[in-house]
Amino acid sequence: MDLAEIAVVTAAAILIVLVLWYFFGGRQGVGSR
Amino acid sequence: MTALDQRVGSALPRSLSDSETARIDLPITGMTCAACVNRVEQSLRAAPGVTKAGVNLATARATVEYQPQSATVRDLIHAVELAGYGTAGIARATFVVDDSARPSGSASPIEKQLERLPGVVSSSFNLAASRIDVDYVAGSGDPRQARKLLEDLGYSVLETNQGDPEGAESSAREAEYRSLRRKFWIAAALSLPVLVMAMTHGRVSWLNFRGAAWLQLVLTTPVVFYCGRQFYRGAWAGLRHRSADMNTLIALGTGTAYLYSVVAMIAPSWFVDGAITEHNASEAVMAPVYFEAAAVIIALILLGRLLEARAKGKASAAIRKLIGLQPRTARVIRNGTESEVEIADVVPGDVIVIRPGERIPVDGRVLDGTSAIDESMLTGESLPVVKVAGADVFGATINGTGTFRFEATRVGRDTALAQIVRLVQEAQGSKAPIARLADMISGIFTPVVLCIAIATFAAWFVLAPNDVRLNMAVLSFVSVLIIACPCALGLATPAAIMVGTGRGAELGVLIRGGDVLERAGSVTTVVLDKTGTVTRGVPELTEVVALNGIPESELLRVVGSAERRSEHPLAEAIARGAARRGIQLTDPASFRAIPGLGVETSIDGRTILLGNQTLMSERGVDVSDAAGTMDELSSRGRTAVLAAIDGRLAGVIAVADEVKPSSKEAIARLRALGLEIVLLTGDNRRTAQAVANEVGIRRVLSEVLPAGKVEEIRRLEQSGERVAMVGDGINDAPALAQAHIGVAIGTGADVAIEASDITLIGGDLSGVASAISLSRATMRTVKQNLFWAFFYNVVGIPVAAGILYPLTGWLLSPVIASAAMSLSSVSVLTNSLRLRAFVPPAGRLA
Repeated sequence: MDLAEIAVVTAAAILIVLVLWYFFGGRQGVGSR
Repeated sequence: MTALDQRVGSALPRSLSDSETARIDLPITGMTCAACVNRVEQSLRAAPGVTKAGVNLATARATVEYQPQSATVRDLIHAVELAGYGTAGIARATFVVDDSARPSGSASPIEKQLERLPGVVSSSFNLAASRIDVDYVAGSGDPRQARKLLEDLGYSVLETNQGDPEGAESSAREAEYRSLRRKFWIAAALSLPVLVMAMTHGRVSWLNFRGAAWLQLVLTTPVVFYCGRQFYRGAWAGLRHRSADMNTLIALGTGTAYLYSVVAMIAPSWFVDGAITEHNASEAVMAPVYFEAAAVIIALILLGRLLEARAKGKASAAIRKLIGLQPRTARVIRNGTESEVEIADVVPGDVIVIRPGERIPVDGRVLDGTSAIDESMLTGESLPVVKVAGADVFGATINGTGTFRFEATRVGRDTALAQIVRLVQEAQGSKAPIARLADMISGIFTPVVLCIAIATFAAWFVLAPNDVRLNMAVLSFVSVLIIACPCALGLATPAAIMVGTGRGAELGVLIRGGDVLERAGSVTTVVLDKTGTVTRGVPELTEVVALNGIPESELLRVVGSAERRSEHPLAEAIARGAARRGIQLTDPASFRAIPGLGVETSIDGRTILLGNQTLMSERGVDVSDAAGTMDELSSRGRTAVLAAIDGRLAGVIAVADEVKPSSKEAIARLRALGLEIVLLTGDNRRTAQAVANEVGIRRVLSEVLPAGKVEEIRRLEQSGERVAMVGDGINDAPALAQAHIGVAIGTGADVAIEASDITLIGGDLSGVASAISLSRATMRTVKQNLFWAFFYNVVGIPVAAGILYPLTGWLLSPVIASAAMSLSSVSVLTNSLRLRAFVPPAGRLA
């Protein structure tokens, strides 16, 4: 794995967590209202 | 409370007490998928004062229940706009008032009062022109209420222009469609050259010039930012509300392809190690660009939307056809003169003249004249119905060759046609439980797809060879986002239900909602009430057996005259039967009813005794001559009435509630559907069995009291049967409510029978089989739709992610992904439209 690959994988992991948190986490998530 | 408020309070159709909720149907524009449905629903539910909100994608309508004192229609519209959508169908009514009659100091509150009326969005009072404009939601607001309120407030209304409530929504939808069409053609025209340039891969020399990529950028930019604007706007509105829908996916997909291409074009060196010298191999190094993906995706999705809009138009054709049945004018006699009057101005009590071949404008009762009327548009029954004075006629039905006058009884929103239209609209807007599942899944679906797309990107970046890794990652990322759009999923159920309920209305079967369709499809047992359902419900004279040498006509004359005064149903049947056979009846000299036994009268100086066996034996009349006849009659379900003249037996009159001519075939059709059929009645065993034998029912539950019917239904359901109870809707209401499905047999007028799930307008039992087979067909379509929508996504996503690449070297192009995506929702709609051609299967007569 080169540096770019590590960066992309890390960014992807962070993005996935962010997406899941934004749409499902917190009080305003889908279906929670 | 001021005096004014009190007056207004009385003018309001419903009192606005704390517990009162109002209901409104808002036509929504801009919705495209199940996630849009969720978003509008959530935004409406979050609005203060809203108690219930449901949105239907196929009809593009929101049905909202709210408390009028804490929310106005304007608040609701605002909530819809906040979610990123629009509303349509606002009509404007204009009233010109006599300003001098205005109560002093009340210029300002009048608008507020008007806005408290159901369905009214806003109102404005132009003092200078003495004109009041009232904007209202077509179908929910009623300009007549506004007029009444104004009059109750002391204004005299000089002029009313009600606007065009039907036109308001259709013109908004038309504008939406036209804008969509324009955007599609622009997108198609601009993306075609981009596609050609990209697909030739530089092999066609004249397309392979220095600024080719720049030209692609120039062509693609308007497609993305003008034609595709709605996707970006929708995605942004969703993002602010922490929700994602297909706009999010399209916006991210096309946005990524576009931005990547722009960067790759301006700064190819960033991608230089991965750059294939594609466009101009001999010259400077260039990275591949994907403008064609962004442009073509938008063009194809717009095409899909366009086809979808057309199919949706067809799906609601049934209801538009019904609305179109109402004539625009009526020929009314007022003050002795005949004049053509707008339909909206016809009031109950007006006398209306109908000529041969004309459509009847409103509901009413025939005053004089006779004609055969074609009621097929309401009842599905093709044979014309003969109407004489006193008969009910219904708006939208077509007069045959006779001329008659009738008195209007129900007009406007109260006519049978208006009720049918409202019922069907409500049903089409309702959601089947199976649709909630789809809505829920697509709400979760989009963020999950987003994660899958990100993971795909990372995976290809790591796994693919260094020189192409970024290209493959971007392409797969875009493909996954585009192919996963859940629009087919959102349409799968409502589209089928809309077409199914519309087709039902055409067949004279009113289905109350999507949940009813779902339940009706799973019925295993049909319980038929006897009286009025299988039979006509009115006893008729069937046989006359004269005994001891008395002529039959003389016997009929005597008994017919004797029963003339009685109000007992059997007596009425005999008197009516005698009169129908052309017998001249006379008035009896004396008349005495003997409760539970019969009557005693005197005609032409002779004593006539009419009644049952007990009466005869009490009076010492020898009935042995009639014993065989009586046995034979009762075995055929007849009720026998004995007649004696001057103490001597004169004959037997048979009366029966005859089986409707259509019942036998209708029951054969039900049996052909594999249903168990039970006859349920309060009558005695012999009569019930006789009727059952005649129509071909094997299982009979007789001598069941009205209260016991509920119990019988419950018992059947406990034994695992799913019961459809068919009854007249009035006496059988509790049993209808208890059953899995309650089917009411209506007779044109009473279409809105509360206890029932399904109403058969024609009063014909064959509608039961039509309703059940239509429900089965609709549910079959729903399941096919859901299967294809799910299957498509389940298969499409891994393919788009490149799972086949290691095996076949096949990577789905974003262009193909978008074509497939558009096709999926079109195919779901086309599949649903097949229900328009549904024909109830014929039964085999045993």
